[in-house]
Amino acid sequence: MTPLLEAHRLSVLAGEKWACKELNLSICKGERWGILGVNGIGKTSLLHALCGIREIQSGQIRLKGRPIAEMKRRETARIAGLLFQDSEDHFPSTVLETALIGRHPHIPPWQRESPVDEKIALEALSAVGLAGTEQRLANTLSGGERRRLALATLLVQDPELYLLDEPTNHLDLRHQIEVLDLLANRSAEKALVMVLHDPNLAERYCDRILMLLEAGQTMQGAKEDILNESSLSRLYDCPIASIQGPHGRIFFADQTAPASGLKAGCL
Amino acid sequence: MKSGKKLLLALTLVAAASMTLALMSGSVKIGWQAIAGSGLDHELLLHLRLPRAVNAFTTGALLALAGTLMQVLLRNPLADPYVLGISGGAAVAALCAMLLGLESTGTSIGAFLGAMLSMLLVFGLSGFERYSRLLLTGIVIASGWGALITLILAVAPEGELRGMLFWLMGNLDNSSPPYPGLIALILGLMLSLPLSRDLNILARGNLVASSLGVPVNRLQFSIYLICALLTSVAVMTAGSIGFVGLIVPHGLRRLGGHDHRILLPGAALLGGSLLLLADTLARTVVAPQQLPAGAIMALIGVPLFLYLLRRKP
Repeated sequence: MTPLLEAHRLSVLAGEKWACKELNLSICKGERWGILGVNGIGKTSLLHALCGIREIQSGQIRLKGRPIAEMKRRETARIAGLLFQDSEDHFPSTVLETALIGRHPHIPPWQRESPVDEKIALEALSAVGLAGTEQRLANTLSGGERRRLALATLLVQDPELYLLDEPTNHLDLRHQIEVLDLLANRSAEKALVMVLHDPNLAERYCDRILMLLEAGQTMQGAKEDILNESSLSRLYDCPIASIQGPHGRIFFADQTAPASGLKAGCL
Repeated sequence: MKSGKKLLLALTLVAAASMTLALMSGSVKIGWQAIAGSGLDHELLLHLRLPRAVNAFTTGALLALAGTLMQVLLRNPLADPYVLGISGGAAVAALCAMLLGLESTGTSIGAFLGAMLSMLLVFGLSGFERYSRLLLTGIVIASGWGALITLILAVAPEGELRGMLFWLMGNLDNSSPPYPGLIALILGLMLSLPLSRDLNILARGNLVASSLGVPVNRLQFSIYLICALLTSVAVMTAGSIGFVGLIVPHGLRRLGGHDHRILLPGAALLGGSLLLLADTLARTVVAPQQLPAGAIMALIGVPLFLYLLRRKP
């Protein structure tokens, strides 16, 4: 089976530092990838490069076997969709109008949105728990609601490869789980690539991990092989221990001592 | 979708009413029958009032359309058609033409060329790589033009000064032919309306648009060119009339026009109507004295916009 996305000797610059150098990556349907790395290492730049909206320095990216550089943007957008770290809204638009823009790559240039498109948008809104807010202005929503609206827009876009930049930003604990469950439940027919800051979410929701280390080096593999105390301690340059939790799950926590002002009783 | 159509219908009615009012108002009372007749009234209506009304309408429409496009291009609700120095370039060239003693046609052509030159200059210096740079380059170039305008006014002979100031304030009194404006307006709508859906997405940022399949660079370049054309023709027809290009898109967004398929034609209709009303007032309030339409435009626009701001969306 042709992988959904292949990167061949891919090098991407993030500002003046290499996000990755000579990276080979192959992402297939049904896989759930987690990308981990410290702040500023280039996770977002890599994600943007993977769907062709950021220039790459060398190498090649293929979507379903075709070089992304030769594809039209609309075709690319039907295969790979991106959830941005933050959403901009400079001008007012309603929640429904915002969700509907996800249909853009599916609607021929000269047509307008049909009732079917609207139905798809309404379903996505209700899937992320925003039913009933359709006619509200998007900029009146809370941070977490806007995050879910951005996710709904991506669900409406319905790509085969979901590239998610910190999908749990702004979300409370319950909504983090709900949103990632929702995505995981759809992942049999799709592939997920998510940039995460919480190794515990990576442990719970990903089956493959890509770690971005310093100077463009990377480390990748199955979760079981990659996600452990020593690799995470090296990645975050901070001692990390694993703890056995309920349902046999493993949790990672930092081992540093609390700051002196935060000792028990001081608060 | 339905409310959008209602909005457009209402704006069409407003435009028709403003046009009627403009044609019926003036120091001489003219009845409808004059259209078919052949006397002096007929001449007055068809050869004086109609061209001027058409000029006022198209200038307002061009500026409002250009303002709407410019706001999306720069993703900045404070942008107007002049923000990238277009009116400054046009003004410097027009004032130079006046200094050289050229008549109104020469001045108009000078203004057009100056606007185009300024657009090319700003684009050549910044490109679209970072739109914050585009905006800042435009603002700086505009300030440069402003300084040149002041210098020209300082050295201009007394006799020219009044004409120059009137040009700068925006003036529909120079009886330019209505065709350039009409053609530019029709062309502008024909070129920009098919881009509406892409514009809706571009309004959310370059990267978002790009990830949804919008060819961002090509789109931005098209908008830029269309804006340049619309604004240059508007400036050529009536000098630099402010306010309409900034306020009309805002007003329409407050009235619920979020979709550019409604916003673009809506802006043309509302901008045209507002400037037409302003010009009708400007030439009738203290007739036979004529006031600068640009100033009246702002006087109508300020309370209208403040009302729209306070009104619950």
